[in-house]
Amino acid sequence: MTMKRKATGFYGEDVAARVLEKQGYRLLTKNYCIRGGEIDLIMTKGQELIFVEVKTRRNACFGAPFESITEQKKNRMVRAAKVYLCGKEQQDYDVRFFAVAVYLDENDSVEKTEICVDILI
Amino acid sequence: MAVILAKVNSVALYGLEPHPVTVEADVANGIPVFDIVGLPETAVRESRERVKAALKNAGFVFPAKRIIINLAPADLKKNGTSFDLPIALALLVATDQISAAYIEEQMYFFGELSLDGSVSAVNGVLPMVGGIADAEENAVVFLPQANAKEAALDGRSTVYPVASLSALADHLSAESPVEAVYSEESDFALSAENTRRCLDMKEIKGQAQVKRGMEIAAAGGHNVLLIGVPGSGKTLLARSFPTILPPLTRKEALAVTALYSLAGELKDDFLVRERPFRSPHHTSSAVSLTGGGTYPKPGEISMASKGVLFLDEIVEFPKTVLQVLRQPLEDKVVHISRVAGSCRFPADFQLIAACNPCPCGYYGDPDKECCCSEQQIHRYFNKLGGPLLDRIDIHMNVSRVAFRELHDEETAEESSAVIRERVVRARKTQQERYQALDITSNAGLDRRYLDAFCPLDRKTTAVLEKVFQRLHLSARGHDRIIKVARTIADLAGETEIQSQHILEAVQYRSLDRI
Repeated sequence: MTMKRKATGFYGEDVAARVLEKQGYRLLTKNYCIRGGEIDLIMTKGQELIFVEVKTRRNACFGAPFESITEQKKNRMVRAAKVYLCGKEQQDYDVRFFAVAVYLDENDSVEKTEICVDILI
Repeated sequence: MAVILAKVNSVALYGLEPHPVTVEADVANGIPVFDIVGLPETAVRESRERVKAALKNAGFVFPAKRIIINLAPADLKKNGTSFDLPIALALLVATDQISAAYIEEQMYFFGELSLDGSVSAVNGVLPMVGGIADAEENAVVFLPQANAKEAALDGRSTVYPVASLSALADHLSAESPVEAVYSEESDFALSAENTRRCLDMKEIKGQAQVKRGMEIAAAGGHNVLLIGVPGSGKTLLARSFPTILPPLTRKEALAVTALYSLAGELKDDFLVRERPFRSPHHTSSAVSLTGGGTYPKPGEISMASKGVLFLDEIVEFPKTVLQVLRQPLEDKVVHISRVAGSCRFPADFQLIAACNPCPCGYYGDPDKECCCSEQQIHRYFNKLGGPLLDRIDIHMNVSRVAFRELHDEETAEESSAVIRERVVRARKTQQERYQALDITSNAGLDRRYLDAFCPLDRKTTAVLEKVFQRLHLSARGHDRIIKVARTIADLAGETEIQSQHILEAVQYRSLDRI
């Protein structure tokens, strides 16, 4: 992975976090990573605990952002979420899984963002 | 959304046997899942997707939470699409979108959900509603609109038709109540005329002797084997046979309807009004005849219950397929055992079989020469096997119709209605005679009853003895002749069997005479 691509990803995650913060969510962890799974953003609002996958796209050459969230990707998210929830009482949280798409134009400025709620159901 | 444990009653079928099932829904916080437990099979598993889409499209919220659906009792395998509606309802109650107060103990729900939230028809409604009524005295049943008339036939429960999920919610909250469906007397109208593909006897020219044989078979419930050259009218005669059978009684019609409902063959009408006529092709497998499958479905012999099973070219059926008929012919039921359990289907049918007199088809034909060797003919009939032939009381040779008979406009053939009248009368005599016993017609007579119900006077016994010796009859053939003679006497309105009845009965044992 080139630095450029990684940087785009981090940039997108920052954008997504800001968008969700505007909706009242508070950022807990960024790039939570375990063996066999990772989660880009973990945020919270009241009882809600959300796990967010961020997809950043400069163009549509590689398909729509949400398209690339496969069953396998979801499973990896769930696996990571379970590890994160270890030691916490699951029942206390209203756990949700979100996906955020960030579209950039040629000058790397944000064109638009989209939020897909409850991607697991 | 407040979270409540929801319980909704439904019912599962294994064969014809209903089992009450409670659908429980638990909605909790945590990583979102939607799981159905309680041994659901593929169709029930898939109901997740239908329920999901139906809830959303009917304007309800599908919660992104830990949803567990339990189908209790959890050790009974669940199959079919009828759990869609109770699952959706349990989910709505669990998330307080429908108040739990509306769901009462005696309410039962089943139906398949369409993606738009409407409720579509399911199979096996009549046995399910029957099972509910057995379990709960004042049951209130909510089921697909398309099945409402069929369900109302049972008459013991209150039946509400459900058009869609939102209509059900509106009904339960008494916002816009639905009218209950009741059966009317006219719903039970049974047809004596067999309109389905069946030919009236008067359309068949000539063949007077065979028609008489058919009448006897109808009157006594005897199984028939028709042997004849190609084109002699065997198939035609068999197809007209249901038209001379007595009309179905209401009880019989309901029993047959339950089977057709289970098999999903109740498409045009909600009640089977005519005696069934089934003619499976000779490539049919043994299981397609007896019924079976992981979730047993009735086979052809059960679908022919209270009616006619016609096996054309019976000799072409594989021997293994024919031999499975032996036990059901004797017991009038078929037991099906599978890993998941065992069940029984009624198989109370009358067998009409047809075949050629030899492999080439022309043995005994006056015009065309038969080219088969004696050995070939022997082998041909050997395929039927003694035990099966044993259960066929009447064998008849069907010869070709002469040209002048085909064009004979003067002699009017008897219509089926006239013949049926005589048949009904003879059946009534038998029912009165066998009131106290477990048999209903002469065909059911066995050794135990033969002496009691078919006494022969000295003259008749002498005639029978002569025939017995001349034809080298077996003990079995002897009993068959007496049984058929009993029916002939009943048709004639005689209480005693007389010698002419015996002599006529001998005519219907053509295979014994070979």
